[in-house]
Parts: sequence; C-alpha cells; structure tokens
Amino acid sequence: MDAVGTSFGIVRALGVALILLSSGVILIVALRAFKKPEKPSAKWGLLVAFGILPLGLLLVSDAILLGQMKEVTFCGSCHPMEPFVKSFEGLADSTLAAVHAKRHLIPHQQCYTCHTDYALMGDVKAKLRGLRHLYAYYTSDDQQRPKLYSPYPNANCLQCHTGAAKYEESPTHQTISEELKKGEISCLDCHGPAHPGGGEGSSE
Amino acid sequence: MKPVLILLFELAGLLLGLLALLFPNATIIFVFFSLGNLLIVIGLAGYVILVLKDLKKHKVL
Repeated sequence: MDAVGTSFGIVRALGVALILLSSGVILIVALRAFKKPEKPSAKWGLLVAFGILPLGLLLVSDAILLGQMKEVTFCGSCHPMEPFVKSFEGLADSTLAAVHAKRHLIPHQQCYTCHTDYALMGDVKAKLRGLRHLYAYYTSDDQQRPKLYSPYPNANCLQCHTGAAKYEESPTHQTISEELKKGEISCLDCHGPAHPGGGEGSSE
Repeated sequence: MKPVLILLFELAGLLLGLLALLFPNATIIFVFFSLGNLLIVIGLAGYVILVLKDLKKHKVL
C-alpha cells in the first residue's frame, strides 16, 4: 500500500472511531435530556446530541466517503470494470492507462484523475454519472463493456501535459497544438488505445 | 416529530454511514451513504421543528 493509501486508511479508521464515540455520546446525552426535558441543561444537551454532533459527523463522513469514491478499488468493485483495473497490474499491457499507472505517472486514483472532466462541475458530473452507472449495473441484464458518453476530452490529458518539456518540445505537438486544444484531433488518435480493447477515441 | 424518533433517525443514519466507511464497495457506499445522509437530514429537520415549536411555546417566536 502506498503512502496515500495508508494515510487514507488512517483517516477512515479515525472516521469509524469518531462515529462510534459520537453515537455513544448522542445516546447518553439524549437519554439524560429525556428524563428532565425542562431543565436548561437538557436543551443544551439536545442541541449537541441532535444538532451539532450529527451535522458534524455528516460532514466528516461525507468528506471521507467522497474521497473513497476516487480510489481505483472503488471503481473496480463493479464487475464490468475489472478488465480495466486488471490491465494496470499486467506487466505486458502497454495501453495508455496501464503505462500511466505502472510508471507511476499517475501514482494513485488513476480512474478518477483521467475520467473526471477538468472543469468546475467535473467532480459533480462524475458523481452523478457514478449513480447512473450503479443504477444500470443492477437494472440491466446486459453487462457489456462500458463506453464513454462522449469522445475523450483532450483537456483531461492537457491538464498534466501542458507545460511539460517532453510534450511542449515535441515537433508534432507544436504543429497540431491548436487542433489538440480545440479537440479537433484526439490525443488517443496517436497514443491510444487507452484500455485493452480500444475504441476510446471514437464518438461513443 | 418526537425526540425519541429523532434519536432513532440520527443513530440509524450514523450506523449506515459507519457501514459505508467499513465496507468500501460501490453498492454499499452509494446505497448506505445516500440512505444514511437522508436519515440524518430527516433527524436534523425534526430537531429544528422541535426547537421552533418550543420557541413558539415559550413565546419567543
């Protein structure tokens, strides 16, 4: 497990401990307040037990879980995604995603890094799509290979490669830089396929 | 909403959140996470209503 994975495990363990501890506190404070509801201390107790603690825990657990949803293991927990995740492990696989993962060009959260649109609403869109995928996973009998909603945006590649010497100094990239920025030529036209089976660059 | 019911909603929501944290699986996270959030929000809303009623009773509002 890498350093990020370890620290994330610690955060998760802390979250679990915090929820357990707070649930106990909520239970004790609420039950004490129920016995003597008219006392001022009971009102403050209820404010902590019913208001502050649950709201705080809601925010903390949501932050931890939203972080967890960015992990490769999370994406790989649905069967149709297994071939994609496994391709990261096979040494012989030379597809673009596998190379990025194996060389640690993207050291962690590889699926999320490449498949979240680089824009203000990119994260929100990714989460909504995740819900749609889950619905399709359980309601559709046809568990076919997942496809992109639209051609893979070059902006997702350029968010890292723009400014990198190897990218900027390449004569080919210099010639077609405008077309790449406008999305008229896909990075995957030359550097694909991104995953085993290919086809990511086409309009699906 | 009765205070006991608020307590149950919030504890149930926290329990679901706990399960989602313990089992990092897509289905568990999405279902338990959404349901847990919903239960806690219902509990919080119930508490706000309770406070408003109490304030009205004491003629603060």
